[in-house]
Amino acid sequence: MNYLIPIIALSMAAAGCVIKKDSAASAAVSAEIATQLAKGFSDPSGAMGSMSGTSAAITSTCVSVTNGMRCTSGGYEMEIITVSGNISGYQKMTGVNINAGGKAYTVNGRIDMTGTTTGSAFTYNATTGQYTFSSKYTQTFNGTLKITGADNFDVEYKEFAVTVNISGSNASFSFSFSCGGKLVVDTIEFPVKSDCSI
Amino acid sequence: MKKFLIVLVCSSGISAFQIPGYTAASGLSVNLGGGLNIAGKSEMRANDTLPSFTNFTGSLNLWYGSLFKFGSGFFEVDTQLGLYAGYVPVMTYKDQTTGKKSSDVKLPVILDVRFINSKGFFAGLGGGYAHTIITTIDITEATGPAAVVSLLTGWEISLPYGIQAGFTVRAMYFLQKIEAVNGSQLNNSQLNIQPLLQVGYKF
Repeated sequence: MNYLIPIIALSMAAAGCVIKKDSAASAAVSAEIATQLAKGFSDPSGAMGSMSGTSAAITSTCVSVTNGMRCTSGGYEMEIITVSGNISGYQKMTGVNINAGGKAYTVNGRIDMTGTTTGSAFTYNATTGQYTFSSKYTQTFNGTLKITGADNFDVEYKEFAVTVNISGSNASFSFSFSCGGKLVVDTIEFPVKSDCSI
Repeated sequence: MKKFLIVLVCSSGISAFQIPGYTAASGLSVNLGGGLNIAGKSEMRANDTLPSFTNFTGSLNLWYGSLFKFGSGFFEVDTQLGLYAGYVPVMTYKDQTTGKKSSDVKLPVILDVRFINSKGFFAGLGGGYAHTIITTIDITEATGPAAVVSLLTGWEISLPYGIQAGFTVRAMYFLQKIEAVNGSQLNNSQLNIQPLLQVGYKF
């Protein structure tokens, strides 16, 4: 039994194990969430449906507003207005689930967006019903989100800029992102690199 | 005639075959193990569905015995003291679009005691420390300690030339909390089950 004493002692010594997180990882998660939100503003196949991992992707109800539309689904609400290639709008989330970096988060808050859309090209074959689409969306985000679940932190998007290039057909779409601006996670400011990393 | 020969060969094979036992001898043995780590979900990862919680694991085991014997018959066991060092990926994830990875890797060092009988069946327990490396989207999110308690059982046989082989089922429970920058804490404790094959050498 004497041999068990060091085992028990080792376990007890380590039992109070608390390790602290680095905010940079939370900022990287925030950038990942932002690119998903930007994708939501850009996807012609259904803005909210394109957001992988969101509960909003299940069903959505959209209504027309002047020069745009407003869609709601569960705790998610998005409005997008387009006037002569200039876009504006917001995404408001109340208890929306988003996956980023393999973790599931619950998101609350509101992001306001302004931007432009350029280079849009759309072809449609009436016989086959097939269409192709390509466009470039430049968006700037401002707002604050409260993230809970796999982590707990507040993030402020300060002139967070993301450009989404989208191309594809009704079979599938591909997206590419480039980023800029700043993220503030728990009062720590992180500049965002062009590849959307921190 | 052919059927008779097959039966004869098989019968003689069975009668000649004996389950190799375990030769308890004083001294040190070194085992290398490999297999799967099947992790449960901690409170922190309760809602995560995308990562893999089953991953390959590897370990190095040192066993020193015999320290003392007790019991009788099948239950007469030899007591050995062990040191385990392992690589235990609790969770892994790779984003298919960006290629960026997230993971929770534990590097435990465990002090074990095991009780092994003459047929090589064993059971044991241990405890120790596990260094943790949590990576999120290619960023090292947190590093630090976890406590670990472990139970193990299995079968090991002694082969010629000092070689040993067998399998182990090891259960590990990591105790850990993760603290966010705002001071809130999330529980990252979880049970891990490891079916392992091992091969070793007795000095």
